[in-house]
Amino acid sequence: MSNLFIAYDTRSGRIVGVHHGPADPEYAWNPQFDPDLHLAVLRGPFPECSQGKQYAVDTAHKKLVEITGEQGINFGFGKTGGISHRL
Amino acid sequence: MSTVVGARGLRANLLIQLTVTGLAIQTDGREYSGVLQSVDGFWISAQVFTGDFSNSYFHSFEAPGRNVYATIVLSEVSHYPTEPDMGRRASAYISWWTAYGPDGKLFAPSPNSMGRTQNAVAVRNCGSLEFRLEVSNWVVATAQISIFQF
Repeated sequence: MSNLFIAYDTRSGRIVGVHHGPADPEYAWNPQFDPDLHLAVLRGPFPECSQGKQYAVDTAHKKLVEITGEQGINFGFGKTGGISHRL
Repeated sequence: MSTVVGARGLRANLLIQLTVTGLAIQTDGREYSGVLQSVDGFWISAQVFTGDFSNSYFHSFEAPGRNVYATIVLSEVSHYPTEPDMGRRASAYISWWTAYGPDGKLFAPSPNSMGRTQNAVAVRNCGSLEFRLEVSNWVVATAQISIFQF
């Protein structure tokens, strides 16, 4: 399972970016966003995430939470398929 | 094997076969020949209400890398009704990539030179690529990523 990184503003808990990286514990994501943001990053596979739901970060517990309202974002990623000449 | 029906109702058996041929890859201002080895496809989506949000994907290859041609294209963009003067945006692009040198070491990341319009790149001995989907202000978008390896 790939690593999922979630960058959020520590003042509001609003998520500004997510990143899908390799399942390598040494891999680090260095996001570049607005320098005015107070940025922090959560790391994990977050298997509970699903499409159609809105998410933000509970800044007190540094935890991804489902929310309703304009602060929430939604994201998705997956493989559509492929072909290989080597098969 | 599948059966197709023509315009006049004639049935014919059609054998679907992928024919792989040698292709020329243009990168670094030079041209290299190669045979298509594989194609990988991914989808990526992002939805935001107020403000900006991005979803990105990092794809890597082990040394000595692969010769690749990669693309990202917007599949769908929708927006929610809101204030008419609010600027909305959706951009899908390749933000940077790396390549292996002759010594097997990775070059420093190469930022794209075309900003948010860089939706395709050919890289020889590619080490990694980062694909990025950005949305702003009440927009939901989906993009398709394709990676052709030679």
